[in-house]
Amino acid sequence: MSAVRSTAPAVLPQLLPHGAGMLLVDRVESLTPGRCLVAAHTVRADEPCFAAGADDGRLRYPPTLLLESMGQAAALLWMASTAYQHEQVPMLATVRGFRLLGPVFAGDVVRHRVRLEHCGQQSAMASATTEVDGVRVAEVESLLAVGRRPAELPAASAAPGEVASPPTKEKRA
Amino acid sequence: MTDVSTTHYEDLRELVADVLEVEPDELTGDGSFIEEYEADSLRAIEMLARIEKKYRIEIPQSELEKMENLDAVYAVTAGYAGWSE
Repeated sequence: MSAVRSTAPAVLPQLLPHGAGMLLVDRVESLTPGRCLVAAHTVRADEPCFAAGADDGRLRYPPTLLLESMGQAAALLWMASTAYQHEQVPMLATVRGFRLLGPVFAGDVVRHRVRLEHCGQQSAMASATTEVDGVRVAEVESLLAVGRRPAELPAASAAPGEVASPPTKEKRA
Repeated sequence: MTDVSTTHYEDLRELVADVLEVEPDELTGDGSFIEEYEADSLRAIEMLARIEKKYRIEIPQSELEKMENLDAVYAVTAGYAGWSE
């Protein structure tokens, strides 16, 4: 818990099991363990999703990655709760009520406000909203995450800080 | 069932139906979630989490094996919630 409370960008890769290119939370701005969290991510033009460029010259952030970023923020909130078992890997299991309310472009700073709705030892539910410059661009009614022990995951996908090999996530949108 | 247990049962029916994305009146007490409603393990975990949230209880995931239909979900939940018949 204390590790998350003092989260700095350099520490995040050690907390989330995502590698470069898929780590979509840059910093935690506020945290009330077990209740809520605000986290931010700057959408960079050099992210892999923009490798193909854009037809109209505007690099529009894929909603799936925005949702992934929300999920990572929610994971940090769960990991900061006393009920979280740190030997497990948090995995997004179910998404309900995701709505994209506005476009997100490269250069935008997305700010997630996450509320923990339920927290158990092996699963957690959260709701979240996302803003850019104070304007809500996305919201999700329910993110359900489950914890899986490394031995339960596909090979080479579990170690925190390593690049996970697909498929590593149980995801149903 | 008492009136209270009937209410709990019907509340669970609503919750489970929502997770399985079926109408509550389509959900029978002994209908297998997997065979009749095409549920998978993620639906089961979501069901468990929503029950825990609604009733503020903790049910071990090891109980999921038993929760194969609505009657079984009620029995497991009643046990952890301390509902008496």
